[in-house]
Amino acid sequence: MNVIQVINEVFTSNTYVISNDNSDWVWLIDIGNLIGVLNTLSEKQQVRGVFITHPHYDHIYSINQLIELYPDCQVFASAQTSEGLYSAKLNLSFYHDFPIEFKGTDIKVLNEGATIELFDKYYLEAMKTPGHHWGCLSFRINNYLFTGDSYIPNFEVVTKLKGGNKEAALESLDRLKKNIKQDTIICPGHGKMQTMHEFSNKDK
Amino acid sequence: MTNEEKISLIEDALEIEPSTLKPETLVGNISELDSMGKLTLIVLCDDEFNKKLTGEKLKEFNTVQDILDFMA
Repeated sequence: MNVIQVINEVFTSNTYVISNDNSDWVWLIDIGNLIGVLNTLSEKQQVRGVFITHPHYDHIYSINQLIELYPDCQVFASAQTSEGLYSAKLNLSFYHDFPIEFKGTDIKVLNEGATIELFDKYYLEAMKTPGHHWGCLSFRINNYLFTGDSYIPNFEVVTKLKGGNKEAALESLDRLKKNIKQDTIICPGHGKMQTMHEFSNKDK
Repeated sequence: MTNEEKISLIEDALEIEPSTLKPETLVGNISELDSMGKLTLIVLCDDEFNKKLTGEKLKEFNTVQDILDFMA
């Protein structure tokens, strides 16, 4: 399995492109800059689905273009994030230059522990990690952990935006850290993807 | 809504200790009013007061009293 990080233009959020050598499809974690994603794909690769960590607009802003280009692309999100995808005020895009409201009708709602097969023998597991936003999900695939804005190593979780909660963020952080081993590759919503070992060494 | 109630709303939104802000507090001295904090204040003005605060308008505020006057 291969994971490519795409750094988006809005707030330098991250989109991750997940592929497999034997498959003609890829999966995304969040969708910022679509052009950046397309630049990573081979001619035969299609986007089969996108997993949204939370609805803030820097993590979703090309979702309509994505669905226009790949009408069969599945969108996965928590119930609260789904609500945010349909509301420019809830996803905060209303307060910027380009309001975004999802034009699609089908969002597959993920709950705690939901498991999706991405490729043969590769599974994604969803974890509820509210705090930065009440709908935050993190995703684990083997030793990769996609934490969105629920955990950005070396940065305090932002909880003052609408839907944030400090106590929930601390609980989620505890849960996430219990799932992190030295070889876990942390893929945050902003910043570099690195193993916990590398992050730890940087702190020294 | 009284000024005290408005200040309480601002403190709660920006995660500032209660009774920290005063009308005369300089906006430039509120460390919590970083880029995320500004967005939070913009959302608060829209949600609670139906007022569209812009980044440009925010730059004109000198003290907390200016924010309170805008909310009125």
